[in-house]
Amino acid sequence: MRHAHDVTAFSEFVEARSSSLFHTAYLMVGDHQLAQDLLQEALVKTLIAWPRLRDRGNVDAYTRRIVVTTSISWRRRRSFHERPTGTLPQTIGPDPVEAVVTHDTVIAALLTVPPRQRAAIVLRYYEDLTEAQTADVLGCSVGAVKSQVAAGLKRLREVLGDTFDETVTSEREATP
Amino acid sequence: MNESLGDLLHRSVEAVPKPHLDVGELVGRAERRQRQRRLVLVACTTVLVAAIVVGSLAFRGGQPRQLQPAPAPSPSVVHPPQRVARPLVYAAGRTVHVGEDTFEAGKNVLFVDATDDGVVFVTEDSDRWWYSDTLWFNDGSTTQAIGRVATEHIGLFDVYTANPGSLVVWAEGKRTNASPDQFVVYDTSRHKVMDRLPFTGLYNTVLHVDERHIFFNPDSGAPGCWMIDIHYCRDPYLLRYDVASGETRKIPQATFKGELRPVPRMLMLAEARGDTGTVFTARAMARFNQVGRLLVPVDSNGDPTVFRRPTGEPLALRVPAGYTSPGDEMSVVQWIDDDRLVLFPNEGGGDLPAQVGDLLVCKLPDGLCRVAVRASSTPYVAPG
Repeated sequence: MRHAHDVTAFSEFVEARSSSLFHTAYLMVGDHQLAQDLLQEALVKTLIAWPRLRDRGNVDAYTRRIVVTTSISWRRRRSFHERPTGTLPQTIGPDPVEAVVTHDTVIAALLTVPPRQRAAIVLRYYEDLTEAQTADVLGCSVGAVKSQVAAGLKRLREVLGDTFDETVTSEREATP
Repeated sequence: MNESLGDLLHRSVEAVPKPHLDVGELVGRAERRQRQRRLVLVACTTVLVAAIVVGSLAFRGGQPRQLQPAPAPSPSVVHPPQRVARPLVYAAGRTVHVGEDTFEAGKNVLFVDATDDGVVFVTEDSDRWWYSDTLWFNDGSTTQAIGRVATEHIGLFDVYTANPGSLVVWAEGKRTNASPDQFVVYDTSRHKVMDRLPFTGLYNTVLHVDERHIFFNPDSGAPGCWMIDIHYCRDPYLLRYDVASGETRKIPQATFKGELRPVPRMLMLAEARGDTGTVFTARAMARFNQVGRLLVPVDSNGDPTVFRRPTGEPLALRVPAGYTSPGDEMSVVQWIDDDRLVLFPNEGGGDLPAQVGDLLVCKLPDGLCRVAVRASSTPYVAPG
């Protein structure tokens, strides 16, 4: 049976981190219910692995990794990651300054990006991970992260136009 | 100045309602999953790994627990002849390694395993069959697609191989649906599909494949629920398909145990808790943590003893002097022959993608392990 102190610690972890992890899940799947399913699945896996997670400081990273990798694997079980072409968002018009980039537009655009590229984008730009950290989460090389991000950004540009600056937050803050 | 993509993404999720999470429900799901995983893995990984609990240690009246020796093989059991050793197989990216040889799969390899006749592997397809990937067989000279396999989780494919033997069984992937409804039985020595076995319920689970039989289990919604221990089952049974006759028969658990008894490519872990006294309950597949040079079974509850299945002979696996396992824990991923097995780091109970790590080959007679393949920057896909 699971130790009570493990359950208590897990409960505290869920309380503290579920919102942030849910946002990552939501960006990966673009649907509230699916994101909730995905987060629950990741938390269950985390709890199963809890006794073996020697460094409790890494639980958040471990769970995030499961969220991302599980969402990629779900592509085979669910077709949510690719929407019918009829529902693709319209490309933002030629005058990006005038364009209103809504929540729905961003999420819909993100869903047109293939899962691994989407994961790389979310980890780099939403989670603000370094390329090395992103490679660690995705279980691939830094070079693969670069190419996945570049391909994902290209796809986002096709849909969203020049409405965003692709400098990552940490780089932006480091720029004088 | 344009908004940064990071800010755009943050703004996009700010308005999303918070999730509803019930920690009690999550704990319950984890407990059920763990029980199922333990039992499924204990039973179905006999070819690959299996760690089976035998001879529970009774804890009576505060006396030290006594390990009961494994039951002797039945005199009527005929031991199969020693087979030719299989090469160590694994994949790295698109390359499949077979002993000292390699061949290119053409696509990213997600799964690899061996039979007596060659290598079976799954590639990650870029087609629009989202619910399945292609299963291939390479006999050392040619590669042919032999079917499509449904994929459930990263690293967990419903593909099972006989060891020794030529049979491969998989849950057949479908074009339009995520849920497979039958197993395909393939013989790699004949290069042909031998049969298809429709599920008896929603989802069946292969427990073991030997040279002539497929042992599988009805799902938890059907009678004969011994493998799923969420609820008590009065008449536990499983199904045994005979490839030669094409017949599927109900057999009791005791028969299954008896048929597994002489299987040499299995390990047993000492069961220190002894809470049920039933053979097929308890620990997961053989997983080890490194303690000094010794590889100590995970979940061994303090007793690090490992036994060889048919003989009950105790075994102590040891890594080379000065070696440190780079992974969280190590799992048995392949049996090369009756006396040698392969270890590879595991993480998250197999739910996470293969990570960088060494492949170790351990010789059971002396328990010594050596590094057979060093880790590289490309993650390895270990067999099974």
